[in-house]
Amino acid sequence: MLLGAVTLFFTLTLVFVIIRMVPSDPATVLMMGEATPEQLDRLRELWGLDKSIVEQFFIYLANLVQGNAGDSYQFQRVAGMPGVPVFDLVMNRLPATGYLALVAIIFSMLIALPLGILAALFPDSILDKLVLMLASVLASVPAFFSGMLLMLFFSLTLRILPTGGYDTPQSVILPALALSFSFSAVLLRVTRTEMARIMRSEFIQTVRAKGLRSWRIVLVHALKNAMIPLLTIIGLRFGDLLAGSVVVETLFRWPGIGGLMIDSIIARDYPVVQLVIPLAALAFIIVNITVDVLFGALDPRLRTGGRS
Amino acid sequence: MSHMKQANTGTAQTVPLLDIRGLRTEFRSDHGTVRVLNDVSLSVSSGEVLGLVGESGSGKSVTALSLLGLVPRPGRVTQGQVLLNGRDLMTMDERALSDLRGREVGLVLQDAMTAMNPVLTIGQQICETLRRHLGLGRAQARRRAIDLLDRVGIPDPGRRVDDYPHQFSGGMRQRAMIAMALSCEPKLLIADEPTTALDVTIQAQVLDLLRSLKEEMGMSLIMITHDLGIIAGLADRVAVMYAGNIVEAGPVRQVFKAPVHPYTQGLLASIPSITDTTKSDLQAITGLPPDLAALPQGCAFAPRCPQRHTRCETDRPHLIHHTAQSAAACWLVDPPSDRAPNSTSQTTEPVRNR
Ligand SMILES: Nc1ncnc2c1ncn2[C@@H]1O[C@H](COP(=O)(O)OP(=O)(O)O)[C@@H](O)[C@H]1O
Ligand code: SF4
Ligand SMILES: [Mg+2]
Repeated sequence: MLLGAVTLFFTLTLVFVIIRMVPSDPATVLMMGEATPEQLDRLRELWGLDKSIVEQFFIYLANLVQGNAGDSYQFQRVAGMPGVPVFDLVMNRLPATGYLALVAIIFSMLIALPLGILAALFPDSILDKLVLMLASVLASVPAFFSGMLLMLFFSLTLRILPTGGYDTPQSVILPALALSFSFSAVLLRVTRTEMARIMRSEFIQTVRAKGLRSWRIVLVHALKNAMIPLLTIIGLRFGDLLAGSVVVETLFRWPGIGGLMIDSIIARDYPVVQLVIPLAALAFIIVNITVDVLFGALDPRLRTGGRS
Repeated sequence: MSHMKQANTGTAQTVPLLDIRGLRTEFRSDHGTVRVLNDVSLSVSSGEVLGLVGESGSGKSVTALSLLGLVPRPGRVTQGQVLLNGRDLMTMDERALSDLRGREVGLVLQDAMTAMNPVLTIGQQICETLRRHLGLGRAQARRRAIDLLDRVGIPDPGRRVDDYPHQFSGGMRQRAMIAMALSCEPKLLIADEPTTALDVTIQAQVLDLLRSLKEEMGMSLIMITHDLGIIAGLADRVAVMYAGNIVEAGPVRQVFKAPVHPYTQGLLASIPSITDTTKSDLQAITGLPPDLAALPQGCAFAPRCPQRHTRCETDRPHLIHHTAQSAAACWLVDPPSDRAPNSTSQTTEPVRNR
């Protein structure tokens, strides 16, 4: 928890500093060279960018603590008009990204578990080698490329799924698939390695000696043990998923945080960037705390203060 | 194989409960094939306790796994028969075998910590066996599991049934393993070094438990160990393994009093309390355990044998009866001329060389 808080503060600070070190400032970008230097200065003054960076940082922190993340620059093109509060902007977009990530994780599991288990049951077989090859392919194809291939095939050729947007329930399928490929490669390798290792362990011999059915040995005894390393890797690699969502959301016009992040970085929309990126860090931290909690549920050895 | 006629070391008249004949198990790898079991023949009668001894790596565990069809990849049973009540397990398919594992033959492994699934409760692990083989319902199975834990001496079984293996002490885990293996009242229990991981006091308790349960249930027991003391206190008969072969077998008293095979003699000589009663000129075994991938052409024990002679280095001895009850695989053994005609397939005169 403390570590999480420290990480979060570190991210806040880093984002705050780095975004101000990137060449060209929000006023110039937003006015697209059509403003006089006086107008630009007025904008900077309005946004508080005329103050020193240390001063700006403390104002930012003080506001944040009060739950005010500032107003967006982008949606304030007419100087003097109140901007859209960043919190509203982000909260509007957050569920879409959460939903996309969740569906992508489910897809990844649906790809990785059956294939990984099969490969583990027949180590060094042709099937095993094919699965490992598939994992390499899945791992090496960038999300924008697989996304375009999926779009080409399912939307343009077969015309069964939309090319993007958020309107229909099916809309999530293609972006989630594109996002899940490289993630499923990671899960696939872990599943295969862990299941193979567990199937060689002594307790599996006991279970077999008890005469249990094969499916029960694999799906109850072995898989329950494999879920522990699988969860670990999902927690550790959740950041990859968030990073991937930036590309995928842009490609499929998915109204999530990823797309907002790109837009706001390009527009030097400091308040948005300053909220979105730490929020991604927060999501990562929350996922890992959840994983820790689930660990306790999965691995009784980690449960403290049990009975006895 | 011309020597496949096996030396029947069981009670001569009755059909033994378990009869293993010429079992051979090999592990294949890129470096070649290792014959871990060469020619294992054993039998256990109903209600009998057979001690299987031998140093680490001699193939005791692989024997247990082989007979239940549980040899892990890349191991394979390549020859032999395993007759349980006259039915050959080697010709059964996986499904038929699994019906029999845990139901007719129970197996207890050495280290109960690693032999139990860490993420399921003790109760769940006992219940699933009961449900699988006896078709008990959830509640029934649970009641029976608590009963079983009580029987193996777990205190407060109604509460401890929901514990996970790591919440049990070593001795309790081993008891729970025994409860698990005995849950369906198998006719034969194989205990593979069930006390090796335990300290001496707990070890004695677990052995007592096995002894009394065996009496209670009237089952047969194969006790695998490298501890001859355990054999002396528990077994009716003993079989000694060396490099994947049974080298000597017979009634415990007889084998301990007058071991025939130099390896058995060496084993006994290394235990002071037992050698007291045996001849004092026995020598403890020197030299390294054999490398199964490079066994000598003749007797596998030859490089370490104080009584080795020329024949030992060229010809491999086979298990021959020297009394109705006892057999040994050594060229020093005299086959009886007047009895057990089925065991005298070796016509060559053994050479004495003392
Ligand atoms: N999974 C395996 N792969 C390769 N060799 C094995 C395997 N299991 C056992 N062996 C070999 O079989 C031999 C006998 O092992 P084991 O039956 O465990 O001996 P014991 O139980 O008498 O100590 C050993 O030399 C061991 O190296
Ligand atoms: S056959 Fe020869 S080498 Fe082998 S145990 Fe007997 S005497 Fe020793
Ligand atoms: Mg062993």
